[in-house]
Amino acid sequence: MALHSARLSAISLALVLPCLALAEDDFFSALDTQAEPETPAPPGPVQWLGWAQQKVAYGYRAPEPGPSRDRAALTRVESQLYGQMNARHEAWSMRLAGSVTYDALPDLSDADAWETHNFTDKQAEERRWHGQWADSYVGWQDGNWWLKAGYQTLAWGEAESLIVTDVLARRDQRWPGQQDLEQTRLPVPAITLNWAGKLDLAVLGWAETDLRPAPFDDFDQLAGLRANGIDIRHNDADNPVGVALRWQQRWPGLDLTWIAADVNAFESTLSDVSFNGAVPETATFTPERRRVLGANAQLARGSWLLKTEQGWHQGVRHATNNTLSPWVESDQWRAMLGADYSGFRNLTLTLELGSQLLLNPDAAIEDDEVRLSQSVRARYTTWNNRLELTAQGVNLPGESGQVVRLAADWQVSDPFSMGISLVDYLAQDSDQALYTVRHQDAAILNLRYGF
Amino acid sequence: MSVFKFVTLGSLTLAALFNVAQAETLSARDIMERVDNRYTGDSSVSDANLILIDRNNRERVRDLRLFSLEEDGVTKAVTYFLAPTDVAGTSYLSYDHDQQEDEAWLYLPALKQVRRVAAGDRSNSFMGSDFTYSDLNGTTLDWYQYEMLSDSETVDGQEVWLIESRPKPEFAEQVLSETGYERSHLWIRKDNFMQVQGQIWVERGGRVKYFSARDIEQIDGIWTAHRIQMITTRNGEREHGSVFQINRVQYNDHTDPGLFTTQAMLRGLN
Repeated sequence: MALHSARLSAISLALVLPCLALAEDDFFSALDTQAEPETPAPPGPVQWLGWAQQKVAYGYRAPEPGPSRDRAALTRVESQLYGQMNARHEAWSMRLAGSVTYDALPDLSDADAWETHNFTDKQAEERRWHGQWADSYVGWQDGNWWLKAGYQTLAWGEAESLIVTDVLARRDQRWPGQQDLEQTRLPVPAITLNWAGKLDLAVLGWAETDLRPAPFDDFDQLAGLRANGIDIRHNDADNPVGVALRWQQRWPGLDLTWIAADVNAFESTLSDVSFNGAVPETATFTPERRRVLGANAQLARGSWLLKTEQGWHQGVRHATNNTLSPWVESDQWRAMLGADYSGFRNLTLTLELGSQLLLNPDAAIEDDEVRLSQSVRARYTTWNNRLELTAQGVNLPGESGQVVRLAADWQVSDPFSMGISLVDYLAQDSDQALYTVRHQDAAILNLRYGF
Repeated sequence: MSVFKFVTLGSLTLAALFNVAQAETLSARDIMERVDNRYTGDSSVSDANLILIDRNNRERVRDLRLFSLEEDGVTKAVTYFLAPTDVAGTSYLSYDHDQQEDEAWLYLPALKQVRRVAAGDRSNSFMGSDFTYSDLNGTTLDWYQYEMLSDSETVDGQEVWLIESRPKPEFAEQVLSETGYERSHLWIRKDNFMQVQGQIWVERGGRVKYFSARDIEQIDGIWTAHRIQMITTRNGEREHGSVFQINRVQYNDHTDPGLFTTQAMLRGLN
């Protein structure tokens, strides 16, 4: 019996050992692949891409009294179709892109298919169908010159906890911290001229403001004023045109950018309040005119990418001690120091420190003279980039509150991806800006199919 | 030495013949210099499929267009991702300097921003593949010491040298940071100084990578591999595999340095 076992073991080893020896060689032999060798289509004349996306968001806490939603409930059931068409002919190029989004929640609510709060007509109207241009422009290039006219996303800064030089991008304030990556910034109507990747001139027109939620919808920052019966009005900017210049210089390991801008801010500030006797009747909000001089630098050293943005902002309006007084101007020096560290396998850590310094502030300004902010982010990819995990915390300037975001994105296949994220707004004191929205946290499920 | 060196081999036929004649006198270092210094065209443009294969043989396929340009003291390369939708429009630009630290930038269309990539990032996976960014960028010959393990091996019927490459102690930390690799075995063809196989020990996780170059032919007098493959293994089992299937290569067809700028990344190919 023992001999028999020994023989079997020997035979097994004899069978196994060549396999082990072969196994290593096998890793050099060609993998069988099903994908057919395919030469990508030549560039142009017309190319398409797009995706269909389904997003469901659930507010897992009952908000503070103010917005229409009065309970933990679904906050969005959005279906989105995005399309992009690119065409190029000789020196000319064109891109048309945009999305249409349908939020089924008002209709589900009307049909009593889902127990939630009642939407106002305005909320239902703005939620049901929403069209949004993505970058859409006509371009012309000749040598080093590149001219573009149309809707363009102008990302001129990277700071995440405050805006330093990123002053040419519109934002979506309807669901702060909950946007898709593509909608971190929104395009603006502009004509841009680029020379050799170094000099940019941008002329912005038809002044627009950030996207705002409908009255009394989640994150309506003016719900408090509205609740007191004050009529809210939004004025257009006096001068719809903005101008900005950027100069970029690259040296080995170092990128340096200078910018100068004379533009309208995309956020509106309180410019006028009218009273009927002692009772406030209307509050008017107007985009402020802002002049900015700034610089960005990025320095790569080993596993570190060091970043800074510095900017002088003239004409920033600030709230006063009196809630119903028009905001007053004060210049600001804004600064960001940050670093990406990628020395750990598949993990990138990002740290950012920001500050806003008021220059010669009016005594009535409520904000502190120095307002600090911080942002920390960890991003980990694994399984050959199929899974991406992100954790981020942002402490907003001036102790306004914190936003924490946890996200997991899974690339199921080439066309299909899914993601889940959790966004939590933190504020402990009633004088913090995020206090009124601290219970408007959300869990979000996102499914996307690309084509 | 970058993937582009793997893909293309400047034949310099006369030089190669000369080298073969002197093959027995060449040291491991001499051979690697021949591999690294070979002429791969002043410029190239190629179309490729990058096929990512998981342990269950499920495939993901990326369509790419790659450009390269040799300038004084620097090799510039830019890769555009054409499909599928989730990566379309992404591009990666690298400057492989002879005398200073390499540089790289990544353009992500979702952010509409070109971002500089730190060197440490380059030990990470290139867009989910088994190749790292440093495989594409290349590393510096002087960071390594080379030892001839065998001069009588054959691969696919071709005689090869088997050379071990280890980082010099003074560069070990830098090599680990930028490549994530501890050491490598390289199989170099004697007739044309082309690397046809590689076994690479990865610092973390006990992983070993296997590189191979196949379907080699001359295009415009330059030896070119149409299929290069990298397989990542752990404990003797394949974790993941990646295949660069080169479908079209043109050499010396363009000389436009404007292709290798961050402006060109923003503009894209269409």
